[in-house]
Amino acid sequence: MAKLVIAESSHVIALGLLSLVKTFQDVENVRIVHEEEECCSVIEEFSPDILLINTSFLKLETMHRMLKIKKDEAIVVHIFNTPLPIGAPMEQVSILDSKDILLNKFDTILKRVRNLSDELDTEELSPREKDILKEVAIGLTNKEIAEKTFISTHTVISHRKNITRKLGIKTVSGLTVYAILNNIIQMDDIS
Amino acid sequence: MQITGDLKMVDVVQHDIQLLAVIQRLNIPLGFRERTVKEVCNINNVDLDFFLHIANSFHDKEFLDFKKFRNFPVDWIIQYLMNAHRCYVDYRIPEIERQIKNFEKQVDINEKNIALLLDFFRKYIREFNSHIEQEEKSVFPYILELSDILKSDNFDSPRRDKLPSISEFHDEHSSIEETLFDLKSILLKYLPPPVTNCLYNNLIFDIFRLERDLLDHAELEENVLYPLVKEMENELHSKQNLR
Ligand SMILES: [Fe+2]
Ligand SMILES: [Fe+2]
Repeated sequence: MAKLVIAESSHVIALGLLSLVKTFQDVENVRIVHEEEECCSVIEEFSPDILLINTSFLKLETMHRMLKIKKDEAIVVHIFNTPLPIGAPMEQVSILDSKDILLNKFDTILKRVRNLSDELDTEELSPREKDILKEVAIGLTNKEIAEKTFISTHTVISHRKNITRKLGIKTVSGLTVYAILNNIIQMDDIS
Repeated sequence: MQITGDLKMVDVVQHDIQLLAVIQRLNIPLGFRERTVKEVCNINNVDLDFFLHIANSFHDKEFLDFKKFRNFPVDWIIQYLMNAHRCYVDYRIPEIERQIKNFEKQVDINEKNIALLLDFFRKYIREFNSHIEQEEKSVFPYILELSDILKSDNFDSPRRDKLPSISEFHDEHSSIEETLFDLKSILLKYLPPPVTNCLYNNLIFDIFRLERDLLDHAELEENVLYPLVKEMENELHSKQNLR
């Protein structure tokens, strides 16, 4: 999932780009920035994966500051108010580009973001997480799990967060159902 | 689109079908004919402004702001919330339970997953009922009492000493839609449909709708009612200190 910032002073162009990027299912959240002053604080707090910035929008010094505070792996895409030569790289889009060209470029950009994040996490539970899930599912508290498996409560909590994120299940009773459906525990294990 | 009194009620509902729930919870019957929102409210003794505030808050989250509700008696909001509770407890939740229960008849006797789901959901119903009981037996009566004291001018009534504060309730206010979110994940991701797709989809749609509805409901409680009560508490304190 990718987070995006559109830094563009033209309201109409910003909305146009917004409606285009929203057609991609990987795009999770988009923020529009209309004022140069807001730009850095929004990027700092929102930490986007992709920044769409109009070349006429930022002064050089703001641009430098922004490049420093953005996430290292974040991709910067420049929006030009003038036509671009055919075969311009994906990091350059023009407000005069056709829909097809724009869709193509965003597709490439989003693929790249996806590849970057795939390396960071997979959706499969690790063996360690499966062990923790088993204990959660039979009804142990974080503290009990920590004592039983010789790790800190803090570590148990962070494992649980990861389990919830990967499975899309938040409650203990939901995790129990998952564990039974996947034969991680048996029906008889729960009292 | 902002909803106003001179729109036709039927157009409003056509535009945002979710508002049907709002209409039902304000006890407004259907059969609007060509009447405007204002006319429908008048006929049914519903305050037009209150209707517009609730409807616009649900229709467009940007609109939602507790300060706009200051001019209405809190009893109205509480009545609205209680009507919603009845709808969940008497109809929406039993309907989902019934659908899961019905699956049992259609599958092989060895199919254990349905029993698992039913058990999961029944545990949820107990959780849900106790959430609502806590609100109707403690939180709402407390708010009504607070509002009576403020109206009565007798701020030193002995009752107030045993009154808790809304922050305590707010901290404990659990999210009852989380289990529905899980149920949806389980049905969509992990459980191969044990019955015909059509029935199965219907169940998922119902769960999804209830989840959204409960999110709106909690929003009204946490972002409108509780902040208003906080203000009432402050008002009471300052009036007591004046004495
Ligand atoms: Fe409630
Ligand atoms: Fe509630």
